Amino acid sequence: MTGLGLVDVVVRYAGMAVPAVDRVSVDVAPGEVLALLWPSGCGKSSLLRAVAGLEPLAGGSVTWDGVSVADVPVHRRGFGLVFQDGQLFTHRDVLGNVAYGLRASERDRAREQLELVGLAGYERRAVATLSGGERQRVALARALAPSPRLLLLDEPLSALDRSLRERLAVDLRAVLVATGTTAVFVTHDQDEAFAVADRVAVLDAGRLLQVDTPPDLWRRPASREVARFLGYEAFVPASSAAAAPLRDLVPPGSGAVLALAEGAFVVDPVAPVAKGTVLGITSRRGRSEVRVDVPGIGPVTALGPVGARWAAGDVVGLGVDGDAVAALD
Amino acid sequence: MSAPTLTRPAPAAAPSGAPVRGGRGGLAWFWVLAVAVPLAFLGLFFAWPVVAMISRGFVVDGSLDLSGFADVFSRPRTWRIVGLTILQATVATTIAVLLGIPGAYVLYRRRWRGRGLVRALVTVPFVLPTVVVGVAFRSLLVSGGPLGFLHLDGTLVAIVAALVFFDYAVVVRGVGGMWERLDPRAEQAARALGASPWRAVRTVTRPARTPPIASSASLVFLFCATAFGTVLILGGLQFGTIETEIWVQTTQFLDLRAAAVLSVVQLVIVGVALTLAGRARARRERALALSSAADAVRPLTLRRVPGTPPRDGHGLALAAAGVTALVVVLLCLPLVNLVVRSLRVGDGWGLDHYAALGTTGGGMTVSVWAATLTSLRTAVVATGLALVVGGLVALVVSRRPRQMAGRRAVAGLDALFMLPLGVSAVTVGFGFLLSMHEPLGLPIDLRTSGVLVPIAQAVVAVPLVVRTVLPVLRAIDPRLKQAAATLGASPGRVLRSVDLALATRSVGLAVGFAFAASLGEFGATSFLARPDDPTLPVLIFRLIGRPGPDSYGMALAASVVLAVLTAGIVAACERLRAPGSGGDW
Repeated sequence: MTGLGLVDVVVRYAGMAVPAVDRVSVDVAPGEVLALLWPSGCGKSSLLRAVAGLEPLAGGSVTWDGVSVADVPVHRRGFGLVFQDGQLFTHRDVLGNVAYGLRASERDRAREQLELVGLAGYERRAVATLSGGERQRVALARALAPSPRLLLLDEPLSALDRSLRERLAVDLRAVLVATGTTAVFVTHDQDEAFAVADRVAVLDAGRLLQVDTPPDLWRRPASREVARFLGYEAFVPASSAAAAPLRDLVPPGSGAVLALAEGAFVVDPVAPVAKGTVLGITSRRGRSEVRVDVPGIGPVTALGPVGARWAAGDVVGLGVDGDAVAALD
Repeated sequence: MSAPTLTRPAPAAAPSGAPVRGGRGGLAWFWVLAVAVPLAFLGLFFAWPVVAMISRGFVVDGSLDLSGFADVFSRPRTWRIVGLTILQATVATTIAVLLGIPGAYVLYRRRWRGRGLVRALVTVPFVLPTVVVGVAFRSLLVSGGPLGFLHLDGTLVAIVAALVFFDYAVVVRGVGGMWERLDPRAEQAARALGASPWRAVRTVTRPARTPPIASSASLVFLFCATAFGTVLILGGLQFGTIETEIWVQTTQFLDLRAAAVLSVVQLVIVGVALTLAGRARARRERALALSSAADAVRPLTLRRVPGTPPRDGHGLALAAAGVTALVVVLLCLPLVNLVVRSLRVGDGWGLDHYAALGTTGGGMTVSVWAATLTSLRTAVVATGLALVVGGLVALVVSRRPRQMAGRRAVAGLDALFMLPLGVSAVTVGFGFLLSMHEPLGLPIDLRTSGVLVPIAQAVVAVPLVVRTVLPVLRAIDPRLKQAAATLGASPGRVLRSVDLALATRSVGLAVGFAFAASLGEFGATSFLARPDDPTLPVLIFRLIGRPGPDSYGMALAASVVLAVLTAGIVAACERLRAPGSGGDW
């Protein structure tokens, strides 16, 4: 059992000069959850749709356990797909939706699935009466019910508001792990990818840039491009004078360039290792985020205390945080 | 959700697979049949009779002779009829749209007590058989009738009024159904940018609402230009449409050549109207941001709601409500009058005319009740046929093939099956008489068997079924079907459990309209109904052609019966319809 294999997959849309998916190769082991972090542009759904059999492949192959699925029609592949907007059947009630992929004798399994996603007792509800989060839970239960050998999730949370999205991402991970489901999950949100997946694949303009576990991806982004997608905002040569306080935070000799994420600098008036000029202050979750201009590095975002009151032009002392610094080759 | 599990169970060893039924081969056969059956039906029972009728005018001794065109167009009578047709249709369409727009606003954009009842009421004229509309207006306008003092009987004004009466509902339903779901926030944005209520309507609302208006207007024009029963009864021999003229030329003057030329002329006029309607419809499907009805509809109140400032459009709403109230009263007038007059016996009142419906006296070969039974029986068969053929057409035309050629073929089929809406029913009816003597060389004479009546009615009803069911099928998100496929449903099961399951919600309404069209069909049926077994509209037409107050009273009573029957059936069917599934009507 080797699970899903993609080899040099190309997907083209009629009338588009550039392929939506350009020679992507990646494997997904049985039971593994892979996130496709697709930060920008169109064609997010194209790779999943091609794997499901809903778009023709312009090149490459899709295999399951080493066998090509090219000749298998959508409904025989056993690949479930959860759409961004659920696509529930409005002419069926909740249980009718979940039971759609099951035999008539398997109604109990549909009930179990509803319980699994936390919607026990919703069996007879009309889908029109559900909230956005409930709909996506039903869509998930419906896709899981026939025990697909692979579950494809096409930005299933992006239509929801932020707090619900963060909560459901945790629940989604729990359900996928509990059922041992092999899954591929497309998202544009880095936090969501890290919360749900065992491994994250970063793509841009249809090309695969890097595949790694979330901690490895964070610590060792393969390129500036990947680092930028992950939220690294400034890059500085490790040998420069300005990088001196940061150099010790990464293993020695690990890279020629240091990447700084938000919070690599922390406002620290007591024992500063660097100085920066305040450009402006915003606030996130109570804490202030201070845009500072650090000589030799440029503008970066430093974390500050609650209720910080500096004016633009003030000079503040800064400390550093090793978890927000990565070394690039 | 369950608590997060840290240890994973072993992944599923093999796909459990969803139940799979039906092979690809069976489905391919289904599509072949779905295209072949409607094509064969319309080819045999529509194209062939029409061609037979038209060729009778243009083929002389086996060679093509187009001199008929020059001959017919050199007659002043032809030009008068063509001019009259366009004049009547244009004037009636204009009036119906001008009255229908405030009606659509009041009945669909505003909420008030009794709205449902009034909506049903304005729909009644549209489903009434044309013969009944003609009789109702006649009884209103004849000297001695309630409006006899206006001396409008037998005038152009009477015909236009009857056409507006009949088509008002087309505008109100077509425009209102779309407006109801039009997102009101664009209008609100305009108001917030400083536009007055009137300017917001003019600059934002109206451009967005023009496509549904254009679409409804071209339909009304179509119905007016091909009006037959109403015009025949109200216009006599002095006024008419191309349709009635074809009937006159065929049955009175036996001039098939003129009839054939006129059929072609009508086809051209109708083709133009249908093309315009199609364009407007395509624009509408593209351009509108729709929301759910609940957001867009506001309550209608006589007094300004406390808290809303003056000059906030309240006056506009009241004016629209006033116009609509007047129109509703005018719509009721012929209907109420019809019922009242049917109860008038000599100088007193009574049910005598209704009692006479069971008799065959006065030279009538069958009683009205017998004709009613014939009508119902015929309409059941016709509705069944129309539902099968129209349903298959809608299913085929709703497909979206990937290839350009496939898409063109689908668009071509769509246009093809709209033709019966435009070709004169009289042409079809007479064409049947010409072509069904020994159809396909078979030694049977279908003309005397009576089976042609339901078939002809089904031909007329097919476009109605298609137009009701097709928008529902087209509105199904392709991804919904893809979701079903990823859950393991075979193409056949997707068709059954998604397309058909969703389309059945509009089938109730399609049945209603098809049944109403069959019950009221007069143009083709007048040729095909056997003399000893007429349908109700044919019998009513015979009754009003006979002298004497008793025949006239019976005609009125029979019209009431037919009206009640039709309106009742449509109302029952409409109850089955799901919100927003009405298609074009």
